[in-house]
Amino acid sequence: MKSKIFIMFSILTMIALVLGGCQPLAINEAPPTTAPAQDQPKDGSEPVAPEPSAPTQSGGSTSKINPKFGNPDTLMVITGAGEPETLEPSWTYETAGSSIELNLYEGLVFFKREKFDEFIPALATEWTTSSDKLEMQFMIRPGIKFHKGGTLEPHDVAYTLQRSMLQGRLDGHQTILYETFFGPDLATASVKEFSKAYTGKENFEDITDAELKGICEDVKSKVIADDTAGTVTMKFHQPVPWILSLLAQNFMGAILDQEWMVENGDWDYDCTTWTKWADPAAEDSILFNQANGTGPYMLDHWTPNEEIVLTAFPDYWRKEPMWEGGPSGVAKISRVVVKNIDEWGTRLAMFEAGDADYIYVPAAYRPQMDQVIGTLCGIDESSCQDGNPDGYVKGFRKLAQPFITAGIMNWNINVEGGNPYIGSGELDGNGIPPDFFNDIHIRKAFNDCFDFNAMIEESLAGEGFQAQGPILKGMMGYLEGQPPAFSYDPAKCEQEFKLADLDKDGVPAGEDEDDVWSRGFYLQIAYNTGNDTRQLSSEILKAGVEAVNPKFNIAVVGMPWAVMLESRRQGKLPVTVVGWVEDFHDPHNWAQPFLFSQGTDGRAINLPADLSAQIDGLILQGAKETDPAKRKVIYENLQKISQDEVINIWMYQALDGIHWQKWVDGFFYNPAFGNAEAAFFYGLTKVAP
Amino acid sequence: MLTYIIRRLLLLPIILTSVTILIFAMMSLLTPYERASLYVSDIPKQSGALEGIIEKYGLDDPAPVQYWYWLVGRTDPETGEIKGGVLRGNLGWSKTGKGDVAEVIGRRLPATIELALWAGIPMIAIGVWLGVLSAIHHNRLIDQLLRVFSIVGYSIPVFVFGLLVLLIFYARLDWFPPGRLSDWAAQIVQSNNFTSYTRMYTVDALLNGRLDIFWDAFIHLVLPVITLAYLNWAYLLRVTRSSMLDILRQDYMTTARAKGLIENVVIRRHALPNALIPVVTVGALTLIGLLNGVVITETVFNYPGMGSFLSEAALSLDVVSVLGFTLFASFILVAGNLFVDVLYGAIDPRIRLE
Repeated sequence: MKSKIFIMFSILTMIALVLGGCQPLAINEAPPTTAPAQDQPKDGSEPVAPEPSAPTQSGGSTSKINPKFGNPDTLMVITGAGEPETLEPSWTYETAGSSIELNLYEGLVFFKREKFDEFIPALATEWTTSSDKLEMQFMIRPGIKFHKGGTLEPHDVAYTLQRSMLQGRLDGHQTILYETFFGPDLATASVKEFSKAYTGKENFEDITDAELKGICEDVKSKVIADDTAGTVTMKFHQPVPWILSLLAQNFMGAILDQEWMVENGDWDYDCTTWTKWADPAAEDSILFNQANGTGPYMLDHWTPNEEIVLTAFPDYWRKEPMWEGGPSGVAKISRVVVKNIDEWGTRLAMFEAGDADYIYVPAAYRPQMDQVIGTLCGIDESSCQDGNPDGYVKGFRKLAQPFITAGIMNWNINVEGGNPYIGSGELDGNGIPPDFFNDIHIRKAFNDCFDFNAMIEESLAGEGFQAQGPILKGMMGYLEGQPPAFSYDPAKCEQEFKLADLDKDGVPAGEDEDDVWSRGFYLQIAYNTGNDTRQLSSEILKAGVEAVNPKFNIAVVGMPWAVMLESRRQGKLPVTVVGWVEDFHDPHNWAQPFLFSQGTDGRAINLPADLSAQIDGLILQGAKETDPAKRKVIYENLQKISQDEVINIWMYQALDGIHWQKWVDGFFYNPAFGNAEAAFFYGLTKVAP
Repeated sequence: MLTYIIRRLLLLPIILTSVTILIFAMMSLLTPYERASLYVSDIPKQSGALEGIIEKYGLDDPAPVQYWYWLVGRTDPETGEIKGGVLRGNLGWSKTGKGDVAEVIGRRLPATIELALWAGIPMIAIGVWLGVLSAIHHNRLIDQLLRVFSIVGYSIPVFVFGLLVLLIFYARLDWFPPGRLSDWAAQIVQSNNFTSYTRMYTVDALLNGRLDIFWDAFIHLVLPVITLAYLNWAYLLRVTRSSMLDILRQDYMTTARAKGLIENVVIRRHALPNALIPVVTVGALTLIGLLNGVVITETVFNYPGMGSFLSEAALSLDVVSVLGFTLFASFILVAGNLFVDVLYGAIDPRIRLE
C-alpha cells in the first residue's frame, strides 16, 4: 500500500511539474511596448544617439527578478551572433573576431572613447603628415611590452603591415591596404590577385621568382621603420582621409612582435619566401588560436564553440587615463569569459540568474527587455535615468549604428540557363522580363509600395529610421534637411506602375493592354533562411506591391545560404535584401560597397554602362580628394543620384540596444568596435549592488 | 558467437566506405559555388572571391578526385605538405568545429557520453519499471495515470519542455544551471591541479577526489538528463507495457501462477525476461541515438556535445565534418547493434548467434 501511495505521489508530482511549467511566466505576460519613434539627430554632424525615453511601465506587472551578483573579478559576456573564425588579426574580417582582438592588440592610435572619427595616441606618441598627405610619420612609444615578453620597436609595426599585405587572404580586409598603399586599381581580393594585377600576369603561377621578390620589396618600401629614430613612415598611393580609423582597427592596427612571430614559424621577413604564407586558410596561421599583442588583455584560451577567456595583462603600459576619467593601469576586471549561446531563452535565463553580466538581445526581443530595464541610458552612463523600479537591467538604447539595410534591385537579370526567380522571363503575367527594373517607374513603384514604417515598427520594434541613400545620417554627403525620397504611398505606387513602359512601345502601361498594369507579373524575392529581418522585409514589400493590383504576384522564398549566395553571384535574383556595416567611418566606405560597379552590393545591381561609369568616376574622385568641402559635394552628388535614379530601396538604418547587469559600470558605445556591446572591456568594472 | 562477431566487424569497413561514398555523391550534387559558401560568412566583399575559394579547395574537381583527396590527402602547392587523408589518420579540418575533425570529436564526445550515461540509466531503469507497473496494473488507476504521463511526455516538444524547466529551475530557483560546469569549477578543471582522465567531469572529479567539482558537474547535468529521460520514458514505458501485456497473456504465465508461484516471482522470473527483448532493442537504439548527440537538448542547455556540432556542420555544408562524424556514427551504430545482438543471447538463451 505504501509503495502505491509513493508511486501515486511521484506521478502526481511529475504531472504537476509539467503542467505547472506550462503556465506562462510573468516576464512573457506583459505585452511588448512599442519603442517611441526615433528622434532624428539634429545637428547633422554626427549620428549621435538621441536621448532615450523611460521605458513604459504600463505593460502589466512583472515579477521582480533579482539576479545574484557573482564574482567581481570575472566578466561573463554572452553573445549570440556567432564566434570568431580566427583570432588572427590579419585574417579577421568579421565582428566577432575583431571585437575580441580589440582587447588583445593595439594599433598606433585608438578611438577617443565613443567617437569613431576622433583619435588618441596609442602605440604611437605622435604623428605628422606631409603637406601632400602622401606620407605619415609616427613616433613609436618606447618601453611597451608584448604579452609574451618582447618589447615593441618600430620594426614590429612595419613587419605587421608588410606581413598583412603579403599574407592577403582571399576576400580579406587587405583590399583596403592595397588601395591605401597601391591605389584603387590594385585593390584586389587577395595577395595572389594583387600580384597578378601588379605584374600584369594572367596566372599567379606564371609570376617569376624575381617578380615575386620585387612585389615584396615594393610592399616593404611602403612602410619603413627606423629603430634608431623610433619612427615608422608610411607612404600612401594617394591621400587617405580615413587612415587613422584604419590604424585604430585590426585593418592596420593589431601590432605584432616580429621576433616572436618568426620564432614561432611565421614569415621570416625574407622576400624570397613570402609566398609560403600567402593566402592561408584561417587555421594555417600561428595566430589562429593564440595571441601576442600589447593590449590590456591576454588570451588565456579559446575552446571553439565553448568559450574564449581573456585575462588582464599585468604589464600593460598605460599609466595615464585614456581620456578624462578614462581607464588606466592594469584592467580592473581580471578575467573575461566570452561565450556564444545561440538560444535566446538560455541567454535570458543566464541573465536572470545573474550568471551573465551581458547578453546579446536581438531587436525583436528588446520590447521584452523594456519591462526589466531599471536604468536606461544613451551612449554612456552620463545619460542614465531611472526606469522600472523593479528592473534589474542597465539598458543602453537608441544607439545609432553604422548599418544600413537596402533592397537591391537587379536592373539586368541574368536568364542564361533559365531563371526560376522571374517565372516565364516574359511580360505575360507569369514572370518579368530581365530588364524589369531598368524602368525607373517600376523602381519608383517598388519604393512607393514598401511600408518603411511597418518594417521599422515590426522588425526593429521601432529601433531604426528610414535611410536616405547609401550615406549614413550625419555623415558627409548626407542631404541634411531633406526627407527620404520615398514613403509608403499605394496611390503613388499604382500611378508609377501605370507610367511604366516595359514593352517599350511608347505607351504607358496604364493605357496599354500589353504592358505590366494589364498583364501583371510574377517574381520571387529570395531571402536566406533564418534571417527573420530579411524575410519580413520581403513580405512587407510583397504585401505592398500585391495590394495595388491583383495581377501582381510576388513569392517570398526562403533558401539556404549556399543557394542564395550562388544565385546572387549568377545575377539571377531580381531583388535581394542586404545589409552593410561600415569598415571605417567615411562616406567612401558606403558609396563604394553600395554603388561601385565592383562593390560588394553594387555589382549585384548591374547598372547601365553610362550611369555606372558616372558613379564609378565620382567614387574614385571622392576617394582621391583631400579637400573636405569638395568631398562633401561629391558624396552629396552620389547620394542624390542614388535617389534620383532610384537605384535601390533604401530601407532603414538600425539603432542598437545594449543590456548589462546593473552592477557593470564604465560602458560606453562606440559603433566602430565591431560587436560594440561586447567589445572593449578595459574600462569596465563590476560593483556589488 | 565469435565467428558471428568477427563477421559483423569485417562488414564495418564496407559499411563505412558505402556511407561516405553516398554522402560524397549527395554533396557532389551541389555546385562548387554552393559548397564554397562554407568559407564565406557574408556576401564576398570582392568579385572573384568565390572562384578563388573553389580553386583553393579544389571544389570543382570531379567528385571521385575529391573523394580520393579526402582518402589520401592533398598536397599544398606552396608548402609541399600533404593535408588531410583519412587513410593517413587525418579526418581533415573541421571549419565548423575549428579543429581537426578527430580532435573536435574527441573534445565533444566525452560530454556526450557523460550525458548519455547519466540520462540512459534513469531513462531505461525508470522507463522499464513504469512500463511493468503499468502492465501489471492494466486498466487500473495507476495504468491510466501512467498512460497520461507517457502521452504528455510524448506530446511536449523537447524544446518547450527544456526551456520551461530551464526558466523554472535555473532562472527562478537557481538550482540547476545550463552548460557543463560553473565558471569557478571550469577554472579548476582547466588548471594544472586537476587531471583530466576521461574529460567526463563527474568521473574525473571523483578520480581527482573533488566532490565539489562532482557536485557542480552533476547539477549541470540534471536538467538535460531530466529532459532526455522524461521524453524517452514515455516511449520506453509504452514499449515495455505492451510487451509485458503480451507476455502476461501467454499460457505459460497461467501455468506459472497455477503452480502456486507468488506474483512477484511470476513477473520477475517469467514475464520480465521475455518482455525485455523488444525493450532492449528500443533502449539500445535510444542510447546509440544519445551517443550521436541530441541537438535540441544540447542547444537549449548550452551543452557542447556531438549533436549541436553535427547540426551546425550539416547546415553549413561542412562536408569534411559531416563525413568525419558519419564515420564515427556508423561505427557506433554497428558496434551498438552488435552489442544488442550479443545481449539478446544473454537475455534469452533460445537465441543463438551464428
